[in-house]
Amino acid sequence: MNKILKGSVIALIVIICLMFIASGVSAQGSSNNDTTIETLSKGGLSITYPSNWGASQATSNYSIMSISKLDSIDAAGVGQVNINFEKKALDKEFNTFVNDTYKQMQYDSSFKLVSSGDSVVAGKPAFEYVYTSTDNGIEREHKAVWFEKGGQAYVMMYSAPLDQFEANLYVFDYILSDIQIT
Amino acid sequence: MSDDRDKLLHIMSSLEADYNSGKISREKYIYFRSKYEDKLNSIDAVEATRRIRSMQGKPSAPKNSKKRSKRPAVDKKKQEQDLVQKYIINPKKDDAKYNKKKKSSLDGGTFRLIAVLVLVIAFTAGVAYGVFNFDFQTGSAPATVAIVEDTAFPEINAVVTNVTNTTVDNTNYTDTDDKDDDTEVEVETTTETTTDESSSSSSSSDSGGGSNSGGGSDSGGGSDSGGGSDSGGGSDSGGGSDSGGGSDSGSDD
Repeated sequence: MNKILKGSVIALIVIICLMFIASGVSAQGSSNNDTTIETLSKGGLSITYPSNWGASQATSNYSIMSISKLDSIDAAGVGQVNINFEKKALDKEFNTFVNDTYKQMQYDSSFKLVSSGDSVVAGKPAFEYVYTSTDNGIEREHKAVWFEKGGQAYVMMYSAPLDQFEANLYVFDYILSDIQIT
Repeated sequence: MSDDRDKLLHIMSSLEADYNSGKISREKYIYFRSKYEDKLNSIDAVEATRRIRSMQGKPSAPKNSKKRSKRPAVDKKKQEQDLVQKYIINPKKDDAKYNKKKKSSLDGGTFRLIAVLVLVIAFTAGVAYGVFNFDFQTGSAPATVAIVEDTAFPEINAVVTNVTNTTVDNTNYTDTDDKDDDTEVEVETTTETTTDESSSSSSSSDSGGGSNSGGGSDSGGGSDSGGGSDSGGGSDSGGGSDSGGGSDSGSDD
């Protein structure tokens, strides 16, 4: 009886140790895995993004959520390649609101509108603006997609330094193709 | 025969003693007691038969009595063996008949132990799997990794204006007092400059609230010069000259 009990206890300890070792190896292995897909939901928007991007804190008061590419964060903790999701209450018609926004931005001498046009986001009609501006001596390119919902103007803006804009644009396009508006 | 009876009685007394001391259960006691009583009765019956036969003048033991007597001997041996096996406190381990029940009890305990171990292993495995695979970030706000300064609603200062106002206040006062040949000339010059600069898209500038300068000169020679300069919001200058023989000049505003 005692022998059986001793044997069982030893076997149990060995099994537990093996399980922890196996789990640890598994966890270590998974940490080295390739990029996975993360989910972020806030303010009526639900997005999926690659795990080499992370949630960020936007300084804008209108921001719902924002993400930054992890390897673009500078020493001061500021993301250089970002996607910011913002919303602002409409005080006029949506088209006018968007046009006025860019009219105002033209006072910034570094603002240059590259293109604008219509688009669709999650089945909703949207406007798309691409423009450049200079911030702290660095020229940055922005792609903003606007849509209206519930008296609010939503804008999803991808911003990156000029030389990194095209290389990471596919992430923004992927997010737009997969976004869920609740 | 009597010997058998004595032995049987002895066994029964020992059975009684074991029962009283709690070494055997009541069921066993009743079972063996009835068995020994039957045996005793049969012995008594044989004894009675033998006596009757001897009284009748018949041979005391029939021919087959030997054969019959052999059987109780075998039974007796067997019974003794049974008794030894039953009432020995520590029975032989290899006695399958009497260890059977205990062995089954051991099997039940082992089974229970194994079941408990399986449950513990399953529980531990479940906890370990959950700990290593649970996504603790789900349902909670993810930690921010950076600061984003980009916004679609930038605040732009549309107009930048620089306004510079300069106020120069000059006061020249020349007093020439000619007394006799003594000529005393006093010249007082005050220059006051106010510069106000503002740079704001919604700024208003206000400078030079007012300055007053007045000057008069009186020179005996009949020269008069007076002037005032004014710049700014308002100025009042006046000058008057009076030249004549007198030596008085003044200016009032």
